[in-house]
Amino acid sequence: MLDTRITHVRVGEADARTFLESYIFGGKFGLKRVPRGIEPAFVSEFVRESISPTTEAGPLRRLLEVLRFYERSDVVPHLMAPLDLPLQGVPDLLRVNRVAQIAGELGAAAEAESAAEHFDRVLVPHPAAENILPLLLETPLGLVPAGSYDAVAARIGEELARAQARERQDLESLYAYDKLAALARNDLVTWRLHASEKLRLLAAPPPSRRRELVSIYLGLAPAASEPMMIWAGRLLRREALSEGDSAVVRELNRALSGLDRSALGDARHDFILVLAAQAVIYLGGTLAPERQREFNAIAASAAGFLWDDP
Amino acid sequence: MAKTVVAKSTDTLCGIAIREGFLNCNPLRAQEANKAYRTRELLAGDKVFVPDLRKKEEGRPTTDTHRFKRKRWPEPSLRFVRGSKTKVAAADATLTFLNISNFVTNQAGTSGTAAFPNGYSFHADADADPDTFKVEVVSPDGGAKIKVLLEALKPVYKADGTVEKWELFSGAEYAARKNEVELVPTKSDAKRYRSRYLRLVSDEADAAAVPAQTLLVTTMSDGLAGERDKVEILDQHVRASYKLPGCKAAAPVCTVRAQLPVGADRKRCRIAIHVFRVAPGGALVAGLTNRALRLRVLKWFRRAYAQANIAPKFDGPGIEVLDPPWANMIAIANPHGSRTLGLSASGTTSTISFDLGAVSQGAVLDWFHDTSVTVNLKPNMTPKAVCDAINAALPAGYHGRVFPNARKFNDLDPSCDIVITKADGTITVVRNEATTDLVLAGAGNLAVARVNLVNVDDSDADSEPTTPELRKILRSGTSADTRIDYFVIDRFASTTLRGVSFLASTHLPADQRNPAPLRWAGIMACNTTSGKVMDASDNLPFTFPHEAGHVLHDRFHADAADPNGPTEMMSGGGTTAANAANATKRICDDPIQVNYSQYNPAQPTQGAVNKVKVAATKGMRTRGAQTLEGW
Repeated sequence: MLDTRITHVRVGEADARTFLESYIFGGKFGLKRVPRGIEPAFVSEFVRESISPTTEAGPLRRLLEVLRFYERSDVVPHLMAPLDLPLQGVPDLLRVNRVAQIAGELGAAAEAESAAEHFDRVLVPHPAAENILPLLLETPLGLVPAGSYDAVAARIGEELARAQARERQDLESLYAYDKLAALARNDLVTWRLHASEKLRLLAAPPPSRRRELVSIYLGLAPAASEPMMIWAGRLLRREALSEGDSAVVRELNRALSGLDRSALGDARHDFILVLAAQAVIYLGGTLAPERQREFNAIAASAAGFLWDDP
Repeated sequence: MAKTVVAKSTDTLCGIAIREGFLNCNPLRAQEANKAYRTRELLAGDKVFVPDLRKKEEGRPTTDTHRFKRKRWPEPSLRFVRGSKTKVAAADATLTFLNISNFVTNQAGTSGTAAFPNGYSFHADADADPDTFKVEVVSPDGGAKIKVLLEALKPVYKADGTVEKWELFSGAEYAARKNEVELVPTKSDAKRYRSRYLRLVSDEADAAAVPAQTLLVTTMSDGLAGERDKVEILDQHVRASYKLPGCKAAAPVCTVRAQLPVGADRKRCRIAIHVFRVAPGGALVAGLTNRALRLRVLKWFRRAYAQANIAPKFDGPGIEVLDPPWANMIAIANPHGSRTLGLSASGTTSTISFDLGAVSQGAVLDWFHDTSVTVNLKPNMTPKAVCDAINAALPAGYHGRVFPNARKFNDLDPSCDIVITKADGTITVVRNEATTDLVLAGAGNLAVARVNLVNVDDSDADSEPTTPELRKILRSGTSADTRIDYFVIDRFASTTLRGVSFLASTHLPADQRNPAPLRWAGIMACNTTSGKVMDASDNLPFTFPHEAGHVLHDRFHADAADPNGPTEMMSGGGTTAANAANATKRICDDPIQVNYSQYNPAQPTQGAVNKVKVAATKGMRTRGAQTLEGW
C-alpha cells in the first residue's frame, strides 16, 4: 500500500471521522470531494467500524472513491462480506455491484477474480438485475483484467429482445425498450472499448504506457472517461511513488509543454494545465517557471485526482 | 358631575365605574342612557353615561390620623406580558403581538434543552424563548388565585381576502383552542396576578405536551378549497378574558379582556405544486388528488412555518396537473460536460443522430416516424456547442430549446440539454439516438430523458439535478424563480427517497449554480419505503416542509450532533414519520442557533462545504426572500 505521500496528514481523528461520514454517508448534501489530509490507516479503521454488510450502495459508491484516493486495499476482505449473502431485491444487487467494483479496483488478484466470478455467475443473471443494467456496466471496467463485459452484454441482449417484444404495449414499454437499445448501441460499446484499452495498457510495461496514461489522465485521449482518468491517475501515482523516479513527472511536464492553446481553446487549455500542474506538484516534481506562473495565475482552479488540496 | 365616557376596547362597565369612584357597575347599568349595555358587553366607542356620585360624610376627630380604605380598587385590567428579572411587575412592557414558539414545547433555556419551567415567577430558562408570554390581570376583587380564559379567535374574511372580524371557533375546534389558565398574585403587588409562562403552539401534539401552558393556534384546512382552507394561523388572534367576581350584574358579567394578533412581520411563501398523470389525460400518479396536495400545503406546511411567521400561498398555476413527460429531451455529456473528440472509431468525423416522431396510444402504441436528424461533430465541441448544432440541424417545424446546466465541481464545462418540440404543439418523441463520437458514446454522455414516474432515476442526485430524468421533470411545468415549485411523482428508483430539492446555491460561482427552472424547486415522491409522502394522510407530515426548507434556506441539513439538531425540521436524520412534540419540526430562531451545513461561501476548493451556526428562521426569511411576499 502507498501509505506515505498520498496525502499530507493534517486532520485529527475526530475531524477525519466527521469528514468521512459526511462524504460517505452525507448523501446529496455531504462533502463533494474525497476529503484529503487524513491518515490513510485511519481510513481503514473507519471502514472497519462504519461499513457493514448491509451498508447501502450509495455510500459504497462514495467509499470506492475514498479507497481509490487512499489506496486502502487492506479493507477489501472486510468489504466483500455481502458477496456471501443471498440477494433479495434491487438494494442487495446494487450493494453487491459496488462491492464487486471495489474488489476489482482495490483488491488483490484473487479477490478481484472472486468478485468477477460472483458478478458473472450470481449478480448479472439475477432476475432483478434487469432494473440496474446501466449501473452494472460500470463494474466490469473495474474488474479488468479479472472480469469482462461478456456476461453483462449477454444479459443486455436478452433483455433487449424481451423489451422489443413489448415495445408497442404502452409508452412505458416503449421507453424501456429505447433505453435498453441506447444502452447497447452507445454505452456498452464504449465501456467495452475502454476495458480493452485498460487491458492493453495493463499488459504494457510502465515506460511504454506512461505517455498514454498521462494523456488519459489529462482528458486528452479518446478513452478519457472519468473512471479511466482516475485509474490512470492511480497507476501514475503508483509508479511515481513506489519506484521513486521522476519519469512520471517528466512525462507530465512534457505534456504541459506540449499543450496547444490554439487547438484547445483558452478554457480547456487552462483546465488541463491545472490538472497537469497539480499532478506534478502532488508527485513531488517541479514546474517550469513559465508553467508555474501560468498555474498561479489561474484563479478558482479545479482540483484533480492527483492533488492534495490546499 | 355627571359625564359621558367613551369606552375603549379594554373597558368594562365595572372598570369605568371603579375609575369614576363607584364600587361596581350597578349604578351605571341603572341609567336609562346605558340600557343597551345591560344585555351585552361593552364595545370600543360605546358612550357610557356616568351619573353623579352620591356624597357620604364620615365624621372623625381632627386630632388624629385616620386611614380610609378605598373599596374595590384598583380598576381592573388585563394584558399580555413577558415579565422580567429586574423590573417591578407594573413596569414590564405590554406585548403587542404573540408568536408561535419555535422551541420543543416542553423544553426551554438558551440551550433549548432545559425543562420548560412551570412556576409563576421569573425564570431565565423560560425567558430564553422570546415567544413565551404571561397573562397579567389587575383585579380589584383579590383572592389567592384567579382564572383567565385563553381562546384562539378565527378570522372571518371579506371577499377581498382581508379580515373583517374575529370570532370564536365552534364545537370541538373551539374546545381544542381554549385553555383556562391560573394566575397568582405577584410578589410586588397583591392585586396584580400573573400566569405561568405560556406558549402558542400550532399542532395538537405540542398542545398535549404541556397542556397547562399552551394554547393551540392551528389550521382547520380540509383541502376542499373552501372557507376552512382559507383560515390562516397567522391571521388568528388570541383573546384572554377574566370575569370580575365582584361584578354584581346578573349577565353579562363584566369581563376584562385583551386580544392580540398572532405573528409579526408575516410573509407569504409563493408555492406551486405540479403533479403528473399516470398517462396522458389519465388519473394522477399514486392515486393522488388535488385535495391531498392542498392538505399537504395548507395543513402541514402552514403549521410548520407559522413559527417563522411564514404562510403558504398558492401562486401561478397553484396545483398544476401535467401529462407524463415526453421523451423529447436529449442530454449531452451528462454529468461531466465532456467535449467531443470529433472522431469515430474508424477515424472518420463523428456524428450524433436520432429520429423524431410521435406516438399514439390505442390498443397498441403506434410510433409515427417523422424525420431523422444527423449532426456532424467537430473536435473539442462543448456540450452547449453540440446542442446548438443539433438545434441548427432540426428540420422545419421543429423547435429546440437549449439548456446549459450547472457546471459540476472540478469539471471544465457543464453538460447541456436540448428539448425538442414541434412548432404546432403536437407530441414529439426522440428515438434511436446514436453517436459515433468516441467520447460522447460513453457512460450516459448521450442520453434521452425517458421518465418512468414509478422509477425515476435519482442516481447521484446532488444539490444539482444530475440525471436527465430529474431535469426533464423540472422542466415540465410552468416554474418561476419567484416561488418554490415542487413536482410530484410516484416514486424514485431509490425507494427510500422521499424528496429532492434543488437550491439556488448562491454561495457558489455563477456557472455552478442551478439555472432556472432547476432551482427554487424540487421533486417529491408519493410512495416510499417509509409510506406515503404527499397523500391526504398525516404520514411524514414534515417531509414536504423539510424539502421546501432546503430551497428557502439555501442550506443543507441541521447537524444531528447539535443538541437541537434532532428536532430541527431540517434534520439530516430524516423527518419523523408521525407528528409528536419531539418530531423534526422546529425551525430554530435566536437565541437558539443550530449548526447547518452549506456550501462554503469562500469555496477554498470547488464544492467545499462548511458548517455555520444559524437561526434558521432568519435564514429562510432572508435567503428565501425572493419567494416571499408581504402579507
